[in-house]
Amino acid sequence: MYGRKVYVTISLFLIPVFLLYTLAFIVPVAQTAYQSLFSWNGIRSVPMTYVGLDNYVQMFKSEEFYRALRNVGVFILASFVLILPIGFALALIVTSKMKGKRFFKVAYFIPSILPLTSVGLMWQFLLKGDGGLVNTLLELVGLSGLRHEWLGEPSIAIYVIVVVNAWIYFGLNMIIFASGIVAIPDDLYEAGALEGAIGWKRVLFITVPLMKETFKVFSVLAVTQSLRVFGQIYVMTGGGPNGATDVPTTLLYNQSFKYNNFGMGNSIGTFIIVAGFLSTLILNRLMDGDGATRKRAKGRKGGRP
Amino acid sequence: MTLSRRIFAPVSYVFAILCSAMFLYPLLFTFQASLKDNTEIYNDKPFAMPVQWLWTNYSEAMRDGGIGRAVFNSAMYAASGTALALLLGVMAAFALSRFQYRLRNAAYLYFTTGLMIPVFSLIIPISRMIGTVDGFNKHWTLILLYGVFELPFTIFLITGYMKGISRELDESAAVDGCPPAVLLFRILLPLSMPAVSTAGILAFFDIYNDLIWNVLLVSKDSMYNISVALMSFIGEHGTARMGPMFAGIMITIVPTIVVYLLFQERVESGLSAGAVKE
Repeated sequence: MYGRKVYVTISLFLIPVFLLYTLAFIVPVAQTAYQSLFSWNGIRSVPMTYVGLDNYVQMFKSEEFYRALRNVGVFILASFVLILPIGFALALIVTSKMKGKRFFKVAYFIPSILPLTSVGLMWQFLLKGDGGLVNTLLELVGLSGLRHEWLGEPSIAIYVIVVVNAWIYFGLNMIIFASGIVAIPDDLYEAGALEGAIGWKRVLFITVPLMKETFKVFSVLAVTQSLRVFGQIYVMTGGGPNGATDVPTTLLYNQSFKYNNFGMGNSIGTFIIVAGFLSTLILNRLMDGDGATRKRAKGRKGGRP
Repeated sequence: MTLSRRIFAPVSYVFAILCSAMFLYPLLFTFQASLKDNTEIYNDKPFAMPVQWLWTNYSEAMRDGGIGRAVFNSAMYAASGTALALLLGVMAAFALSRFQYRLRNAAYLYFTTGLMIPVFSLIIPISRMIGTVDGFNKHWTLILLYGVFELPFTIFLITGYMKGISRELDESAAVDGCPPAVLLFRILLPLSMPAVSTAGILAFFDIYNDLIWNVLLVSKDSMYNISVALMSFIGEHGTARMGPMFAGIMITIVPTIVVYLLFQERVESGLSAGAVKE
């Protein structure tokens, strides 16, 4: 192998990456946490004033913050009741022996590749109360009673956004489920067929139990990705009407860049970072539970640590 | 058995086709509307083809909305940012996967921690930082930021892949007197192409679709990307004339559809790898 000189190369390769990464990720995280203890209006010549934990007190007291958390909850819930079943059904279709499955796969996946802003604006137009496609279609099928100003009514706007979000990401989750399905060996299905496991029974008793790992990955994603939702809401409602569709990220944006309340913005930022870390760590721990024991057992058998 | 199969198959076809319609129809409608004028868009015949195909909607979106330039900008940011992320990522992955030294695992952990940090939570300190170096409305700040934000995933993916390539290659390269940099770029890089292209596709889509950084760091309309150009076009002209708005949306989405159709498998695996990175 290479002699000691190779460490010069290693350092030369790692140092620029280290510096840039530290500047773009680690320093800002530290600044967010530190500056959340200060109050600042965003003007550079105006100094920040130390206010201790006031920003957090203000944050935890504000109704908007809890509404934003509840909206993240709606996103997480929708992942399980909407994206999971339909994404899984789509994955079954594109991994089946059906004719045209190649076409179906492309059709289902296309929304996931479109620019989020373009899709958001498209749906904003389609959901308009007056002349929007959704209302026109409802009228055509005689359901004009269901017409709504879909994104303008505070009581329903967040659910409408969640459905649009699901429309965008069904395809991506379909691919995740499909990769779990194709990993199941064919002979298991053949053995199952002899026992009468065909049709829906085959799905319920062979496919679903063997996809536990994929469902775990999905569950971790459902939580962590819901905490990061931003573009969909920024584009379609900007958090409105009247804050009804705010999530922590849009709250951060609005508090700081709209209302110049950067201190509060930083405390929300700190909250998002901590919540993201904790949820990833806790979920991975929870989900790994039995997987880790299995791995350990295997290691012992193989005689390797 | 045969009975349940006879019901199962048609039902799944109906479901499959309904779902295709659910995903494709909104796009088809957008295309039709992009060639219509307001009276036609707002009438009660949404399925009708345009009476007159108004291609002028497209030229208006290009001219007044600057959407063509925005597509070019987005593609340019995406190409440069991706190139930067891949270059730095490949170098880091090489150092993190092919050698043994004390700080290696710590460094790997340090870089991949970035996967857990949502960049939206960093918009305040980063825009301040950009302000102190006078980096607003500069191409280099955007490209640098875009590239560096893709690093954790690029490093994660390529390091994992490079670890799987046989070490014997390194030994024979060293014996033959081949310098480490040549080993990386001539031998290991071509072998790592599956991981590199997956990371590259994800980075490209991520940057092409960016919204927040262009909103925060750019105020010159000649530097707008697709997201900001579309939003400001719609903001300025309102919904008084919907045709050009739909045309603008079509112009921004067509390139992504073309790239997807050209590299279907790569795009599918790239974007889903990006989703399950944590």
